[in-house]
Amino acid sequence: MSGGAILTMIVFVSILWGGFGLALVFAIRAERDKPSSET
Amino acid sequence: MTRSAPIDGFTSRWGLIVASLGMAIGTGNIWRFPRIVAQNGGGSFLVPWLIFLFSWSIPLIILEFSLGKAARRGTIGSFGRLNGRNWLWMGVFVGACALLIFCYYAVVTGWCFRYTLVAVGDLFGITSAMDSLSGQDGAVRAEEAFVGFTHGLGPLLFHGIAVAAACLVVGRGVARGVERASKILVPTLFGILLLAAVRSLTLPGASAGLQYLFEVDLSLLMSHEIWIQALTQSAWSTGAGWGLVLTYASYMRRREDVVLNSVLTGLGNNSASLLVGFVVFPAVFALAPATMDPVKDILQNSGPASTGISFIWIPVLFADMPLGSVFNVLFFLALSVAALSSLIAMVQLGVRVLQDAGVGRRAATLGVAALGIVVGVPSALSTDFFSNQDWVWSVGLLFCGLFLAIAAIRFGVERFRTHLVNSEGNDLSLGKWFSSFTLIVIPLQGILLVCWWTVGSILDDLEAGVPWWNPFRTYGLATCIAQFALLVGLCLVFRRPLIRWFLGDERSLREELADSESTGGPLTEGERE
Repeated sequence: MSGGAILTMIVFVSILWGGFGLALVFAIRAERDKPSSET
Repeated sequence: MTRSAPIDGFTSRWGLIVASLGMAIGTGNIWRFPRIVAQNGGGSFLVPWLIFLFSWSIPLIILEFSLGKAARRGTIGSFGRLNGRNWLWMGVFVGACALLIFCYYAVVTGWCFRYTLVAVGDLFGITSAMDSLSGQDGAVRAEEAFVGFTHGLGPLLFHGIAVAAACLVVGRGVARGVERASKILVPTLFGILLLAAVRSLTLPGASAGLQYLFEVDLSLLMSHEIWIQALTQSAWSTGAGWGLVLTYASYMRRREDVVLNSVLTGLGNNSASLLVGFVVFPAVFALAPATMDPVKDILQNSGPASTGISFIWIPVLFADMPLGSVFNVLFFLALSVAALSSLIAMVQLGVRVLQDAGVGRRAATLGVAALGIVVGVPSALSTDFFSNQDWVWSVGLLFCGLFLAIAAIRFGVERFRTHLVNSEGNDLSLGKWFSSFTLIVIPLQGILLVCWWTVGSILDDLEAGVPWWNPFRTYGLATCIAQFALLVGLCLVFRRPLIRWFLGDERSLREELADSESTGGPLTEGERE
C-alpha cells in the first residue's frame, strides 16, 4: 500500500469509527448523568 | 378526533439506537456500496460520500427524529400535525415510497435467505452448489444459477418467508418485538462483518484491495458524476428521508435526545459501509483469477438487477478459497441480517400509519403483510418489474428528503430548530447555523440532484435512441413521473377521508405555536402535548 492510501485509510477510519465511538461514549456518559426519572 | 400516544415504545436509549442502526444498515451497505465505490473511482468516491453524510444524511435524520418525537405519529399524521391538513399528501408520498420499497425489498431479503440456506447446506455437505462454481466458467454458472432461481417459483416462497419474519417481529410490538430483535440482530451483524473482515484482510494479496479502496485521485473529484453518485448513495444507504427514523422517533421516550442519536445513526451506518469495504475489496483483489481485472470484470459488473457482486461473484470467489464455505455463510448471513433489520423498520412504518388511523396492531400487521405479499409478487416473479420498482421508488426517496426540508421551511426553520430539534432531553443543542442549513443547503442539494437526474435520464435515452417519454419502460423519466402522478392523484381523490382518519379537527403545531407566540411566550413541550 502506498503512503497516501495508508494516510487516507487512517483519516476515514478515524472520522467514521472514531467519531462513532466518541459519540457512543458521549451518549453513555450523558445517559449516566441524567436523573433516574428521565432514563 | 384526538390521537392517542402509542401504548408501547422503546424502553431505553440503546434500544432506539440499535433499532435505528438496524434500519439504516441494510443491503445498501453490503450489496450497493462496494459496486458504487468501484464504479466511481475507488478511494476518490469516499471523499464526497463522507461530505454528504454531514451535509445531507445527518441533517435529514435530525429533522426526522425531531418531527417524529414532536408529532408522535407516523409519516402521514406527522406531516399533517406539523403544518396542517394541506400537507398530509407529503406524508402519504413518503409513507407510500417506503411501503412500496418494502414490497420489493422483501423479495431481495428472500434472495438473501435462500442464498444463506444454500451456503449453510454447502457448509454441512447437504447441498453442493459451491462445487459447481469452481474453475474458469464459475461466474457463468453462477449467473445461470441466479437467473434459474429468479425465474422459478423459489423467490415467491422466500419472499413470503421474509414478509412473515418481519411481520412476526413487528406484531409483537415495539418494545417486545422491534427493540428486542434489533438488540440481537445489530450486534450479530457487526460481529459477522468483523470476523469476515479479519479473514479477508489476512488473505495473500489483500493489500491491493485496500490500496484501491483508499487511493484518492483528486482529478476524479472534478467530475460531477462522482458527487451525484455519492449523494445518492448517502441518501439511500442511511435511510435519511424515508420516514423510517420518523416512525421510530414517534415511539421514543418523551425526554430523549435527538441530535446525538442522529449523529450516531449516520456515523454508525457509514462505519458499517467502511467495514464492508474491508471485507469485499481485499477479498476480490486477493481471489480474482489472474486473467481478470478485479475492478472492471468483477466489482463494476452489475449483473441482472445489479446483483453482480453479491449473488454471482462472491460465491464464485469463495468457491476456490480455503474455508470458502464458512466465509460464504458469514457473508450471506450478514446480508440477511442487514436486510431483515431494515425490513422490520419498513413494516413498522406501515403498521404505525394504520394504527394512527385507528386500526389495532394485530390487524395493522396483517394488513401490511398482505400488502407486502400481494404487491411484491410481480417483483418476485420478474426481475424487470423488480428493477422498475427499485428505480422509481429509489428516485422517489430523493423527493421524500426534499419534502421533509420543505415541511420544516414551511413550519419556520428557526421555530423548528428551537422547539423541535433543541427539545427537552437533548444532549447536544444546535445553533442558528442549522436553521440556515435547513433553509438553504438541504434544499439546494435536493434540487440539484433532481435536476441532474431529470436531465441525465433524458440525455441517456436520447443517446440510446429510446423514447424517454414512454412510461412503460423499465427505466427512464416517464415511468417515474407516471407512478408519482398516480400516487399524488390518489392523495387528491382521497383527501377528505385522509384528513378524517389522520388529523380530524386537530390544529397543527404551526398554528398552535403561532398563537402562543402572538399571546406571549413559547409553547412548552408539556403544553404541546
